[in-house]
Amino acid sequence: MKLPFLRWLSPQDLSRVTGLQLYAKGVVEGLSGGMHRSHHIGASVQFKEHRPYVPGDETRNIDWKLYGKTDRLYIRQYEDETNLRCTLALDQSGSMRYSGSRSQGLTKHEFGVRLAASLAYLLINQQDAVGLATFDSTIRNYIPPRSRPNHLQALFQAMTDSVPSSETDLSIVLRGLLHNCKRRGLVILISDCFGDAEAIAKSLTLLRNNYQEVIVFQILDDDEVDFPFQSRTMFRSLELASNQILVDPIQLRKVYIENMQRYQSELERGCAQSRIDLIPVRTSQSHSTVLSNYIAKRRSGK
Amino acid sequence: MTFLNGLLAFGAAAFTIPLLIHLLHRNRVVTVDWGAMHLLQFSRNVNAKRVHWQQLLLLFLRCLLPILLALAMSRPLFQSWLSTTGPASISIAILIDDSMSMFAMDNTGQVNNNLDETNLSAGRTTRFAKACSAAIEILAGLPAGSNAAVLLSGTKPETMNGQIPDELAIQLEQLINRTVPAGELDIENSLRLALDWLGKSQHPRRQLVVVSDYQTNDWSKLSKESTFELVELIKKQNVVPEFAMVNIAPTKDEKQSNLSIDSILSVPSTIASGQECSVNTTIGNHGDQDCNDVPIAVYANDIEIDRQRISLPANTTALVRSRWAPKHLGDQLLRSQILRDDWLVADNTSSSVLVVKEPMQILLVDGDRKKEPMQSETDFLRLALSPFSILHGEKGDMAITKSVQPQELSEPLLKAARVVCLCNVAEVPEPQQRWLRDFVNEGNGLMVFLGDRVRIDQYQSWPSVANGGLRIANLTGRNSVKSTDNGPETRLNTQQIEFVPIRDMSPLSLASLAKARFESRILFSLDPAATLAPFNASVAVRFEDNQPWLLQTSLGNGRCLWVSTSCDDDDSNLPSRTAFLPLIQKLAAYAAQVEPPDRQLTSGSEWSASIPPQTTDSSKSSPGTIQVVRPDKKSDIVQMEEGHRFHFSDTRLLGPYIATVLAESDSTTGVLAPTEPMEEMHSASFALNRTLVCVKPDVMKSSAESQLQPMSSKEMDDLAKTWNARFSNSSVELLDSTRSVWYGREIWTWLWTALVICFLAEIALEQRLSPRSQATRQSREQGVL
Repeated sequence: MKLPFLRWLSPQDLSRVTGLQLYAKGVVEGLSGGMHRSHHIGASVQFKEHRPYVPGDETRNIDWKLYGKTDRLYIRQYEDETNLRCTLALDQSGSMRYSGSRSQGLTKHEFGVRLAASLAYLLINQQDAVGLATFDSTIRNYIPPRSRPNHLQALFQAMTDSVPSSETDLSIVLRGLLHNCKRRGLVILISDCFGDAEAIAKSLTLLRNNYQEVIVFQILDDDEVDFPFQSRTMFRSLELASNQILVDPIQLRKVYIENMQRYQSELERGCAQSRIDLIPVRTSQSHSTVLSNYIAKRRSGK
Repeated sequence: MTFLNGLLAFGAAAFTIPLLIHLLHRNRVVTVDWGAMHLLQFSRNVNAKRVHWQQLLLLFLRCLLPILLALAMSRPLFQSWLSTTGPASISIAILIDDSMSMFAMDNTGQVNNNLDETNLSAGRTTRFAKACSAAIEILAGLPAGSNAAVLLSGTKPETMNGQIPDELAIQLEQLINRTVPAGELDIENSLRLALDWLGKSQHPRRQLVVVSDYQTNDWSKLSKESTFELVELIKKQNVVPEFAMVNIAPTKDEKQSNLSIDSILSVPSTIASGQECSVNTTIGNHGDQDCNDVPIAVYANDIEIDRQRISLPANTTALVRSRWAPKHLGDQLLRSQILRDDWLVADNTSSSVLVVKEPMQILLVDGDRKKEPMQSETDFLRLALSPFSILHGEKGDMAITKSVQPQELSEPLLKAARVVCLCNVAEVPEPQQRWLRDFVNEGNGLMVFLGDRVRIDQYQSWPSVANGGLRIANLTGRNSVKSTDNGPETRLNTQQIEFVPIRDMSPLSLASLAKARFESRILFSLDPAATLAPFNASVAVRFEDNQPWLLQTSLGNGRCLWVSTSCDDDDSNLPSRTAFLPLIQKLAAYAAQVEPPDRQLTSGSEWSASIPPQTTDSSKSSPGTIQVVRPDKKSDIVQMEEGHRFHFSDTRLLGPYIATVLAESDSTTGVLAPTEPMEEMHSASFALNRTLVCVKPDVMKSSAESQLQPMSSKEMDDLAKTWNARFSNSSVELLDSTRSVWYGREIWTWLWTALVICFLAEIALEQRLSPRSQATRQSREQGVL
């Protein structure tokens, strides 16, 4: 029986992803011990600091050796390390169904699923908890984060079941995610981010302010960037079939590209303000390469 | 606009191909399921208009390419706005110079020194022939429907008949072999004639072409004022004609060598039969080289009478004298010829006319006859009128005189006489007055010399000319100053004489006449009735005190002269002065109307002469028909008028004109006499039936034409600039330069250029609009997304 994840992850992808480690940039809250810094101070071996004793503190934490030297009571504090709670938010709106001529037959959604699968695999492998939310105009399926290896199956199944259709409203979806991600963690948004750039940026900021680290993989097709159409074309909306425009692409190209750039820069500005990583990804690229490049960049930035 | 390869122009229809592609392409719509609709909707109408124009421009360029290609290959001719369809017809006036210098032959290789007149000019073309050929070429090259005028612009300018180019070309072909020049180039009148013709022509496009050899003398004689006037005249035309100058002579700066006969003159020009004349020929060398041993032949009526060889240094003239005694009466044609080839053959011959006359009969009526020699009233007159016969007993006098007593004057005597002189006749009875009146009316002359024997009251009682008499003066008395030795002497006023016979006397004779002293005279004044037409009596000569000396009048066909003094030495010392002989001879000739005939005309002026009938048969005295043989051996028929006079005005060509009375049979049957009258000249009767005239240019102008001084290139440029003309050195050059005006201008080079430009523009625009290039430009400008 073919494992469902093999549909999304090729052996090459797996081999490339296996060696990667994704660290949270900030502190996170986890249930078990892990490789990520926790905001809890625990009985770890990683010494953090001394602080003066105040009544109520447990006496076993007093650093008696230091008391002997200084004749003052200090509490010895250690840093706790915990696992990461990561929620993958996968866009399954209609616009993700687009597949251009240069994307090796992949729709943006399929590309997003592969990226999400790779991330899930990577995170589960480093004992972090991974959840999944698929959404279009609202959250369609939510799988809470777990760190068991067999949880991967459930994630992949949910990804397999995800069919892109319907309209999207990213800002509402992101607000919905606030309810699901109450503890500190990581939210990875995989979407084309089409919509009102300002509203999206605002929602991302809200998420960020809710102690979530946010990474946005913006998946675009090459066609959407350089608009290569020549002949008169009827553009039919993937989200709303009734919405269609007959245009001469040659006439529109310049303005379209200008619009695209303006939109992109608006989104980038919004993300930068909230210290959110926005990674524009083309479907013509290899998702494992994109991932490894990003993680390498992230590590060097750390 | 016309096309030389008209069929290829239909290729322009290929412009529909890009148009069809565009339209078909427009109808084909590709449907794309698209995600980023919000980006599309934003940009939908923002820039559509500008881009749409660029698209249309690209489509236009693509349509233009096949059109330009087809047009360029079909070789269109672009004509001016004046032409509507087809080659525009034009009106063209071609002025062909046919003056002397145009008969020079430029392609002479080796000048031949040993030739007789037969092979002169053999196998060579004159400039005139070249000019005719050029004109024919121009006429042949005219657009269909054009009309043309050809003017021969030597003096006197003449317009050839017809306006249809083909007909004119045929006439010009006949002219090519002409060897006889017309007078000097008369550019002013030719241009006026041409402009006049052009002004009346129908076509809106007009051209004026002057075909000439552009000799310096031809154009330099035009004053600045008349040049300016003519240039202004051309500019003021309703449709200003294009002025073109065609030079058919080689432009050489050096002077071409040429020998010419500047003049031939018989001295005297009129002789009586039996006399000998001197034929003086002036030969000029107009080159810079000496000419040695030049044979000069002199011909009388085409029979050689003398041949001499002379040497002429460069730029000099020489005089050759020959003597000749004509054997017959009538007009004799003298001709000199240089028997040597040179550049200009036409001026190697010159002709002149010698008039040989029968002596006229003059009847002298002696009112004071005396036996002693030189005492009679008429002795001085006889001596003056027939000096040869009186002094030497020879023939050769102008007149044969006969002296009679007044009472002997009778009708039979009058019939034989040509002139009657009444010399100091006391009175003339009434019948004699009537006879004399009839005598004068018939065309004879009467001279009345008044003297001391004249009965003034008897003369005053004569009826006036107005009343059928002879008197033209009112005689008032005799003024004698002889009684006082120191009394005032009167002289003639010779300063302002209008009377032709005396005015034309030599200066020496005039001076002698002015010194003559008059001591007594009859005082008379003109009868007012005689001054009216048809008599037109006038005072011919006056004394210094304004009293009349000589009166003249016409009476019927004859003339009367009245002199207030006697013709012997009683009243004056005039008879013993040198002026007397020429004066009396001229007066007698005037009275007899045999004044030396002017046998020389300037070209173009009317030749008016008379050939009196030689027979006395009254049935044949009716005016007949005259055949005039022109210098080019062509003949015309002229009808004689009353008084056996005729007028001939076609005297453009230089050379001798021979008018011959046609025999009755010739004129009735219309068969012309052979055009070689020279051979028959040697029969005396034929010579009397004809008269001659020589048309000659002015001596100075003649030698100017012979000098052959073409303009330098700079002078020609200046000339063309002055006249706003285009200068060409051949008809081909002119045709080339005007063909664009006549037929239109070929514009295929422009079309090819436009095609290349359109092609490049199409490529550039296509590049600009292509998505790939747009993307690269975008990325270059703003960086990769």
